[in-house]
Amino acid sequence: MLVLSPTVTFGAFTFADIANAAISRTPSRTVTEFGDLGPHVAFADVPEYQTTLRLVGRVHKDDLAVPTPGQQATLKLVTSAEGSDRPRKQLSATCTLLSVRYDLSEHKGCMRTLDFVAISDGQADPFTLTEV
Amino acid sequence: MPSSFKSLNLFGSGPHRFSLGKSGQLLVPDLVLGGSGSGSTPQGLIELDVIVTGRLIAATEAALWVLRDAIGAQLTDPLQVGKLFDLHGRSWADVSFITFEQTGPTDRNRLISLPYRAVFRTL
Repeated sequence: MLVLSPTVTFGAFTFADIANAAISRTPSRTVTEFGDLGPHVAFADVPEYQTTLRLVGRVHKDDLAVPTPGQQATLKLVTSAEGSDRPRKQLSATCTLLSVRYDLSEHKGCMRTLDFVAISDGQADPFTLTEV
Repeated sequence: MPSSFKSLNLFGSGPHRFSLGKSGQLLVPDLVLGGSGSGSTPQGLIELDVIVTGRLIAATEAALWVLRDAIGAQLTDPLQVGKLFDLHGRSWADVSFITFEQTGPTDRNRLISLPYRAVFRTL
């Protein structure tokens, strides 16, 4: 999932100027089984995968109060307003911050990337989608 | 054709493979038998193991336990012998079901499944 220009909060923090938020589902472990009938995979499943969120945004001023890796809180992500009368949507999940990185370049200025992993009880999808 | 043991399709819920264990002479060092030196004495042919590895697959936890229990019911004391068929019609007569081992965690997503290793032996 990709959300452009969302409004994002992480616990008490509000992240301004987020350019995009990308939610990825990447396998931690896959299962593929072959049988005695031929060369092709006979069964495949993904019993373990991670739901991760990457926030990329431009930083325009000093950035001193940023959450640190390991912090966990409810992350709320609201889609930006659009030209239609459709309601905006909110994605929320309990997330743990994995990393904070800055990319400095003459052309782009300063870009900040925050990586999170979303957690749940193990069974339910960590992200819930609601209309706001 | 499906595989079977005593005409029971125990492993058909998921893909599985057949392989044979070591065959040939059992050699025991003479030192172990009370002798001396570096020689060894043949004790006869090793009993043949037929090994089945694969994955049991079910839609629910309960259905997976039904599969597991059906296999467990064939692990008897005293041992019973039966005929084992692989997926290509090759058969082994008078084999005993020796062990069944879950070789990894039960996996849960689209389906519920577990990997296993079953050993049959011609005693």
